[in-house]
Amino acid sequence: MLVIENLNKYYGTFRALNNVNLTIKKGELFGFVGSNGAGKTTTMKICVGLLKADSGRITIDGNEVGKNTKLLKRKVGYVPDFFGAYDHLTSIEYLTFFANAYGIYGSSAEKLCEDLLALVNLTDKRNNEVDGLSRGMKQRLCLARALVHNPDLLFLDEPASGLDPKARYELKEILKSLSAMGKTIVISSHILPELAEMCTSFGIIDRGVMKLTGTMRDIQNATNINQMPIAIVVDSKEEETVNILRELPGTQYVRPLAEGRIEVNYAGGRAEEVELLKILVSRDIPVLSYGRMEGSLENVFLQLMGGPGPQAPAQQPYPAQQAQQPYPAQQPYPVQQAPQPYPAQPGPQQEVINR
Amino acid sequence: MKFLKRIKLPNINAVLYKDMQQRTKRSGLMIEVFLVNMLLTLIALILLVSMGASAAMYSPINYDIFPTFFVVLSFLEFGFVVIVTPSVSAGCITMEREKQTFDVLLSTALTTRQIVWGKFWSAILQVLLLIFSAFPTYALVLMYGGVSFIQAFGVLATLLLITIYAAALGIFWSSVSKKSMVSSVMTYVFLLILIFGTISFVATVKGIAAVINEAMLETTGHTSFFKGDIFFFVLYLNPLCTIFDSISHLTGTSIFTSLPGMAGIGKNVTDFESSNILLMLWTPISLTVQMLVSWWLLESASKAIDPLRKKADKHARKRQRQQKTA
Ligand SMILES: Nc1ncnc2c1ncn2[C@@H]1O[C@H](COP(=O)(O)OP(=O)(O)OP(=O)(O)O)[C@@H](O)[C@H]1O
Ligand SMILES: [Mg+2]
Repeated sequence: MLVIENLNKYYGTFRALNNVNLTIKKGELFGFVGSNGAGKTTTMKICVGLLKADSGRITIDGNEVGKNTKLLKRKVGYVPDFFGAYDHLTSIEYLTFFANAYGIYGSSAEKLCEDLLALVNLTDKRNNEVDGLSRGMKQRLCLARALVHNPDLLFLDEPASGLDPKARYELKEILKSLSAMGKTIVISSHILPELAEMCTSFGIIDRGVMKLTGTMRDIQNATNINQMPIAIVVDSKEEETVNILRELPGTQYVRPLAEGRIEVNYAGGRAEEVELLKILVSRDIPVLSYGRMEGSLENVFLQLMGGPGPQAPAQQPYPAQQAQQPYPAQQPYPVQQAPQPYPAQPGPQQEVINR
Repeated sequence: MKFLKRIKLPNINAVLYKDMQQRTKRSGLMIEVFLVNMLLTLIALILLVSMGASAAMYSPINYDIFPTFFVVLSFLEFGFVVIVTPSVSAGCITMEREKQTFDVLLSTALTTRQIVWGKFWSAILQVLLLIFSAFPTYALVLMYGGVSFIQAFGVLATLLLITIYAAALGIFWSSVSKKSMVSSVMTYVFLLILIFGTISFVATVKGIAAVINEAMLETTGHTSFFKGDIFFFVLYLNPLCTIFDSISHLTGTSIFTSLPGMAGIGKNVTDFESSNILLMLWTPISLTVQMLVSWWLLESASKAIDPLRKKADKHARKRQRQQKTA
């Protein structure tokens, strides 16, 4: 669907994109992750024809960007990171304008716009002025706007920024349903975990260089994600579990936490992970949940960005806490944000039981 | 506006329609229309009364005042066109940039040409609404006679074309500027250059030519061929000259004698036997020139807002050179 080859972009002497290569297949929901200034917006703008690349080739459905602009504009929808609203226009007038812009007029435009408003849950704001809508509503309206011409490929630049957890959740639901309709969606974000559960593939860009692309598993395999602790929740027999774990040769350290939660650093990859669970079950341990730490995605990201690696045991977020707040309200780069999920220094020694 | 909704033109330019929607909804618009008309009517009445009073001293009814009245009114309208049009048109595209709506607009299926022309016509329509709502005042003058419909129509058409000229200039500056402020200032500056700059330029050239000729006459006994007359036609670009010429049939004076600073400038030009027709058809020729310039300005604006037409900057050119040598 979208193929980017050796894309380069300079702003003056600054190289914003450095030989970016990327292939996105039809129907994929692609998560485009990178920190501030990584080049996400630049890449997207080039793809939708709002910026001219210095070199490289982009093809959408086999059509080269910059050649058949007219056709491409009908294939592609774009929601920019920042956008304004028109004064004195109501939501429905706003959408109708864009329908007209794509050559859809009259009653068909009317019906289309009503449908789109319903899709993004804004029917009750139909006659409200766009300028008076809340940030999240504007975001949804802009998404509806990007859909007026029923594009096959959607570029969404940080659509979740500035949204509250509920609005994020709703946005995700809309995106999932669009994806189910067979649209290819490229969505950018600063935060990898935010995209983890909905995207089918990912690309991680850092300072203009495409660091990694692939599915979540590809990304996990490419990093030493396997050094992340495994989180185990048991119904009872906590001490017994800890003892079993300590006896196993693969265990690097065990960290018992409150309410039956235990974190263990276990050598090896997926196979060993499976083995460990088998051992626990065979020893009659009532395992409630078992898996790599959820917050580990954060770590993959940080590791790729050259931040602190996953060597240190996790202190802050463990699954239960995450479940309470699935969509963190704060946007920017997590390293700069308190609480720091993975401090570079190892956690307090007394809590870590070394072997 | 409800009435706009009922207009079901199948393929009306989307930008034009949207801009008109926005403009008509602006609460200030009707007040502006009202004020402009009040002002015009007031000036007209004052003129009518004062001229009528002075005329009454000589004869009971003097119908000559009506053409004069018409002339004054036309110049007033010209003044409004020149002042109002830039303020309406120069913000058209920069406003979209400032409100961060422009990227989205550019990403739609609209061509840059459609965007520019939509903006252009929306500006024109607003100026027309403001300025030509003074028709009743004109009608008053026409009712009293003294000016034929054809004459009045000619002057109004000229004003309309001058509006187009000024609007195209505003749109052009709007397309190349980032800020509405800059674009407005540039449009006004360029209008001033077109109106007064061209006259000063021609006067200067003629002055220099005269000095050279005098020197030539003293030293060689012959006058130089260079009279600077060809530069006179720069004034085709000047909308003030156009409106002056279009009402000269009413005033009986031509641009060459009555325009401030013009006295004597045109005198030598009329010696140009072959170019006489160029002077006689001043209004149509200058309007044609101005419309061509307007068209060129709008085409340039369409290119200027096209992100894919951006020229390589000096760093990019340097890199390209390095690549070639490598
Ligand atoms: N118009 C511009 N002029 C000069 N430099 C620019 C311009 N736009 C972007 N850059 C630079 O290019 C780099 C990439 O910017 P870009 O906006 O693509 O990053 P991003 O990944 O979208 O970041 P963010 O997460 O903050 O939105 C940045 O270092 C930025 O400073
Ligand atoms: Mg960005």
